[in-house]
Amino acid sequence: MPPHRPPVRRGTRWLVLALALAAAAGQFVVSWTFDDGARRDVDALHSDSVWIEPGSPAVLDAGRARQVIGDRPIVAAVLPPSEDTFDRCEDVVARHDDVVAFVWTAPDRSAICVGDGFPDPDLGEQADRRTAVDWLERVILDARFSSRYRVDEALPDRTAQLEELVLAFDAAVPDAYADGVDRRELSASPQVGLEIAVRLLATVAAVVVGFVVLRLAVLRVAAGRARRRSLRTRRLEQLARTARLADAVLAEQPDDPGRARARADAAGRYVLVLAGVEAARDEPALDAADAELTALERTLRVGR
Amino acid sequence: MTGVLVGAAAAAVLVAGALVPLLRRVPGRRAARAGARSAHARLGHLLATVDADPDLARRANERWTTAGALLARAESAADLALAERTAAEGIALLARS
Repeated sequence: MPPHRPPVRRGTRWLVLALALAAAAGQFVVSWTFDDGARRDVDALHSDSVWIEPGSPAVLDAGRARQVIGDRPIVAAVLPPSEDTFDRCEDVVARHDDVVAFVWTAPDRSAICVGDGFPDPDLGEQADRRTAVDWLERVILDARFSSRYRVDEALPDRTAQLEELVLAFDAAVPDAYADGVDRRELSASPQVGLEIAVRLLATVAAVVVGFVVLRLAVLRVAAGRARRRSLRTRRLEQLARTARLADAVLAEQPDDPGRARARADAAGRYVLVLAGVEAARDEPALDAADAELTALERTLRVGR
Repeated sequence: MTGVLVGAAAAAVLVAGALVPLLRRVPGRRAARAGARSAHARLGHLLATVDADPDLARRANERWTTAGALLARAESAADLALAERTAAEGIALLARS
């Protein structure tokens, strides 16, 4: 009887390994590409000009802020508390490089910065050497100057600061840009779509891997059961053969001393064979018992 | 809450699908048992009714006893087939007489 082997093919193992790696890579890509809380804030600004982190100490009237900003290439973000407000602002413009960003991490911690994609001025004195950063410095100075008359430092609401920035922005654009600056078009976040796609793929891969691994484990268990059943059937078959041998050994009562001695030897061998059959629990032991049975059957001329 | 329920249902379906090979019953086991019992009973009937050669009858009787023992211990279709084969050997012995 051929031995049972677990029905696990090499190709299946490679498939499981590949899917497991895909799932792990998917999760890694998700965690690497879309890290930290700033990711959510920054992504939200794809489809909105304002983001306010819930629970942040700084206050901004979101509706008013959207109304004031309109389609201007400006975004306002109230982010979680941080010591490096300007770095957070740089994080924002790293993903939205064609805007001016106004970022708060606390009522008294704010930063204004501009992305690399924001156009440099093309009007005014030394227009060929002025960058958008130079231009923005002037805007910031004007905004801060005018904010002094409207912003109450004791209160957390910073909506007026944003309004003054927008006013300064509008005042500074005609002097620096011949055609003004382009309107900002809001769009769905490509990162969010990619994240959903990657997470979906990773989830599907993880489910497939889980199913395949579980299925392989179950098949292995089933194969083990089949192998045990096969061994049991083989033992029963050998016991049936020993029963026939016992009948043959006990049946003959030879008068001839030589035959009687041979029969006694056969009886002794039978006892040993029976002990071997009853003790056999695995393939090698059953093979050995099988060989002993066959030899004794030939001696006693008992056919199978 | 709904997400948890959907997840639990999906996990249950996943596990049930994976467990199918263990839950599936081997077909034909009932027929194999019926066949083995039938052969054993037929051999017993022949032993009781046929006037056979004593040596062949003794050997057929051993096959009947062994087939009965195998039937009692059978757990799989292969075990039952072995019992039926053993009873058939006894029937063949009686047929020779």
